[in-house]
Amino acid sequence: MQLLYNHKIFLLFIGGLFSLLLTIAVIYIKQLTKRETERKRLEEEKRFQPEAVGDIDAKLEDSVEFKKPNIFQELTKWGIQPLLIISFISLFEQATEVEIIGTFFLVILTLFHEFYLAEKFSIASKYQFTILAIWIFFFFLLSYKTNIRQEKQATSVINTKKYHSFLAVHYSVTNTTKTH
Amino acid sequence: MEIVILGNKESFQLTENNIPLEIRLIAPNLAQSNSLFTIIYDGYTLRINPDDCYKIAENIKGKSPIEVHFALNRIIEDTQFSNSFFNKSLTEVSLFKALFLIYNWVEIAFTDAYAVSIGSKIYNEFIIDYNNQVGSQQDIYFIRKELITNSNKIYLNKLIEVNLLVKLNMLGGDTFGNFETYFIPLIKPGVSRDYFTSQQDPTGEKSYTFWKKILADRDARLNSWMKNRF
Repeated sequence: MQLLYNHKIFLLFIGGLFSLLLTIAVIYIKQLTKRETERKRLEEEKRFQPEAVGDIDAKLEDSVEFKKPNIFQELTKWGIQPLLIISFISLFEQATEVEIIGTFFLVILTLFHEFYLAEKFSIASKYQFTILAIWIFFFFLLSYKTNIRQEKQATSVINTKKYHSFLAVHYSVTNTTKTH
Repeated sequence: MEIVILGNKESFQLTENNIPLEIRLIAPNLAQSNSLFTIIYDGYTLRINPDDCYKIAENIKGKSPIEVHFALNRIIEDTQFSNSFFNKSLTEVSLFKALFLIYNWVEIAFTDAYAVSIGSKIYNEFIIDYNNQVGSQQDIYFIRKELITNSNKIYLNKLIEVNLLVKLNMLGGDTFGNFETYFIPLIKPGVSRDYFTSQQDPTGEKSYTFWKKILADRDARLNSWMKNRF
C-alpha cells in the first residue's frame, strides 16, 4: 500500500489540479459577467417587448451562451490536458514502457475528448467519473512506478557501496599479501 | 409539396390563451410545372408566384415585425393580407417568418425530388435568422427524431401551448414522403417553471425535464457547429 503513494508525484498532481482550478475560475467569472450584462439588456428589452423576453432567469438559462456554468461539466471539459502534461513530465525520469504507453493513451484520449467526447458527454456523470478515475489511476500508476524506481536506485546504491567495500577489503588484502 | 406550421399565436405568458394558428404553404414541383404557390394563413388564402415566394423569404430574413410588414407590402399585391401584418404580435410574425425560413432551407426539394433527403434536414438541425448585425442571432432548432414518440405527445403539446415549440408537417406524398417534426421558434420567451403544469402532468416535472432534454440536444448541436463548423 505504501508503494501507491509518492510525495513528489502528489505535489505534481496538486500543481496540475491548481492549474485546472485556475482555468475554471477564469471561465466561471467571465461567464457570470456576461450573464449579468445580458440580464441588464433583457430588463431593458422587457419594457417594450414583454412577450419576447418572458421570465428573465428562465430565458437566460434556456440560451446557449448565457447559461450558468456547471462546474463539474467545466472540470470535465478542461480536465484532461493538465493530466497529459503531468504524464509528459513523468517521462523525463527514466520512463519505462508502461509510462510511455500511458502517455500515448492520454494523447489519443485528448484528441477524442477535444473533438467529440467533451461536447457530447461532459454533462453526463458517467463520463465525469471516468475522467476522475483516469486521474486517480494515473496518480497510483506514476506513484508506484516512481517508488519502484527509487527503491531500485536505493538498492543499487547499497550494492555499489557493498561492492566498493568489498573491493577495498580485497585490495587491502592483496596489498598486504604483496608486501609480505 | 406542402409545409404546414401549427403553433400558438398568443403569448401564453401574457394572456394564458392557446389559440392555434395554422399556416400552410402548398407548392407544386417546380421541375414539372410553374404554377402559383398557395399560402393559407389562418383560413385566408393567398396565391403568389414562385419568384415572389423566394423574394419574401430573402427579404424578411432577420427583420423585425414592422419591417416584415413593409417587405410584404412591397412584394405582395394583395394589400389586405400585407396590411393585416401591421398589428400582429411578435409571436405570430415569428411563426410566419419560420415558414419562409423553412421554405428556403428545403427549397431544393421543390425543384429536385432526389437531390436531397428532407429527413436529414429537419431533425436535429438548425436555421439561423441572420440579421446582419453584431450580437446573438435568432434561430430555429428542429428536435431529434427519437424524441417524437406517442408517449411524448403530451409534453410536446404542452410545450406548443407555452410558445416553446411549434409543430411542422411536411407533406410530400409518394415522391418525398411525409414528415412530422417540432421546432423551437424564433421567439422563445423564458417560461418560468410554474407554467409547465398540465392536467396529465400536475407537477410539471416531466414536461420540464423533457424541455431540458431538448435544450441539451440543441446546445450540443450549436456548440459543435460553433467549434467545428459542421
